[in-house]
Amino acid sequence: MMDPETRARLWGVVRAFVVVLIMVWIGVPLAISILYAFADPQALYARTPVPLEYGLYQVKFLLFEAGAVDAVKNSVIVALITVALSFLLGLPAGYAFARYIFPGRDVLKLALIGVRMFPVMIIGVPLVALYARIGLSDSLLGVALAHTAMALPFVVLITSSVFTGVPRDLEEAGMVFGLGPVGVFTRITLPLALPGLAASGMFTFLLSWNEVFIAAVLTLTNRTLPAFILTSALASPDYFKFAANLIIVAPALLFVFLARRYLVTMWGITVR
Amino acid sequence: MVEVRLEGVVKRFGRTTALKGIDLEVRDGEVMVLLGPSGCGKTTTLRIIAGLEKPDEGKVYFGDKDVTLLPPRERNISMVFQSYAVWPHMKVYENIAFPLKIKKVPEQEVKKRVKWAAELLQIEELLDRYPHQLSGGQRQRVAVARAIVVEPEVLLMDEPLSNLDALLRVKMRSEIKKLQRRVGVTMIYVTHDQTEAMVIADRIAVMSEGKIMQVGSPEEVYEEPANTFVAGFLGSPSMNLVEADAKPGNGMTAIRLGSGEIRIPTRLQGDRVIVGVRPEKILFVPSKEDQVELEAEVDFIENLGSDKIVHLRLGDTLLVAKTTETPPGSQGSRVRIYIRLRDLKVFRPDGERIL
Repeated sequence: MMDPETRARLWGVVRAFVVVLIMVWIGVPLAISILYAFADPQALYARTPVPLEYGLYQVKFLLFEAGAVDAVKNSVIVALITVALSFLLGLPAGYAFARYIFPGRDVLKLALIGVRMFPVMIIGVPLVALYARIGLSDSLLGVALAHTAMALPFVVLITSSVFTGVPRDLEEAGMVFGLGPVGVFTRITLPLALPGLAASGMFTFLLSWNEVFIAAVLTLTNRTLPAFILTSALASPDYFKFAANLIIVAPALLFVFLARRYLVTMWGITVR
Repeated sequence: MVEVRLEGVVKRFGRTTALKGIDLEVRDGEVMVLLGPSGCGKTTTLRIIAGLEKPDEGKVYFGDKDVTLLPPRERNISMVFQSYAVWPHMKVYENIAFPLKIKKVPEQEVKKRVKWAAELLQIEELLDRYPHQLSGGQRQRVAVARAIVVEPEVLLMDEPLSNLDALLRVKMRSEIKKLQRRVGVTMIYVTHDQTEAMVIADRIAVMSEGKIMQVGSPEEVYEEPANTFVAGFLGSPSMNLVEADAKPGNGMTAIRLGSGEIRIPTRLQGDRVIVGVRPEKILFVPSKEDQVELEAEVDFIENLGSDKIVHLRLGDTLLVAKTTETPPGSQGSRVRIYIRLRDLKVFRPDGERIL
């Protein structure tokens, strides 16, 4: 038998080991790929453990000459439209699921998940034909609409659970102390749900940001970043692939870190 | 300040009927306590008065005005919720000021009124804090301050003290009573705690299973319960209620109580009755009034310090007595007990009071 103190210490060591393992597993490839993105093309293939010479050649080339800047712009636009549309439609639905009991509620909730059973591959081709007919092909709005359709079920389900987390009492207090339905929603419910809604918005943004297939199928000249990289960078030498990786990962990482920082300190409460 | 009247209020939730026809009149400026076990409909009644629920049948009046279908914000009420419902995204000051700001009260006046309410509840130093930095008792004070700052016509309280610890609860209940006296507002207060009800109420409405069993002053409902439910619900230990055979005679009735018999000088109908007597009304020394006398065996004695609870046995009938004196005799001994006639309550087998 071990005394409790030794056991606690042992557990601490085990836990630290696991944490380090996970960090290494995620962190090392990330670090290496970022490092290689800046490596001089010649140095990348030299027989040294890490490249010794660095430059901005391939990053610059991808961004300014191959058109990655435009692709980033497109991606941001598509992702923002996706977030806006899916929230416009999903937020009221999520609120209704959270607050009201109506006939068909459970069936509808299930159907939301059911929508995701249809593989994107199969929807993709008819969607191209449909878009060609209604004049949405090769347009950012078209991609955003498709992404909205993909994100909407998640937005509805996530926001409904976020709204469920706002105590009914707080809303009722708002009603008693002078607010109408709209006032209660905008001045009580929304601020309290904001951390959760922001997280769900972040999720939607990244879903659109990372989506390759639909974006690649539906566009030709107006490529989003993943579609751009899929069609151009992957056919290029390795150092371009690393640079492409950096370009696609960096904004997402930055976005998540900033958003998290903001979320954690909201209302002076630690929101997890 | 206004009088509140409920007429034939019925509320159903799906297949269950939560309120089965509530008639209640709350007088201007009084404290009406809705008292009853959980599930009796007291909170639903309060929520209907608040306008948070709509009744399926019946009317709610504030004064002469029918408010049955008005939303809460048009009723000039305020409410303290069981969970306090202090908004976590606003500081204490903003919480208290919020109802005033919605009513577009000028900024200077808002400041003055918040200061007044905060002083009254001794929370001036907390105004700059967020609710999560407060203790339960402090949050409760914020909720009360927010409720009185609007100078409502009716102040509704939904078990406001049930989440506080016992000591604080005792302190707050007298404070709330004093506060109500000072502000002079009509107050409707929901609780399941009978002591709280007795302390705070001008009148108590005792509820059970969606119905009002009795409305009266604390003394009335305690001393003269209208039925066995009220008799049994109020008081600790609760009233002795013994079903017994009755034999109506000439201008009197003889009732068998276990091994003994009591005679009451009234002719009652029916041959089964329920006899009720409060534990503290079972005496071990004769009184100077009209009384009945019985012999009983002491089963066992609980010593609660100032009070002694004496469990008595009359054949197969058990009675509980409460006394502050040293009880005569110990376990197993036979004692004589006396009950004054006016302390004997008699009910029909269906629970209605007949004497």
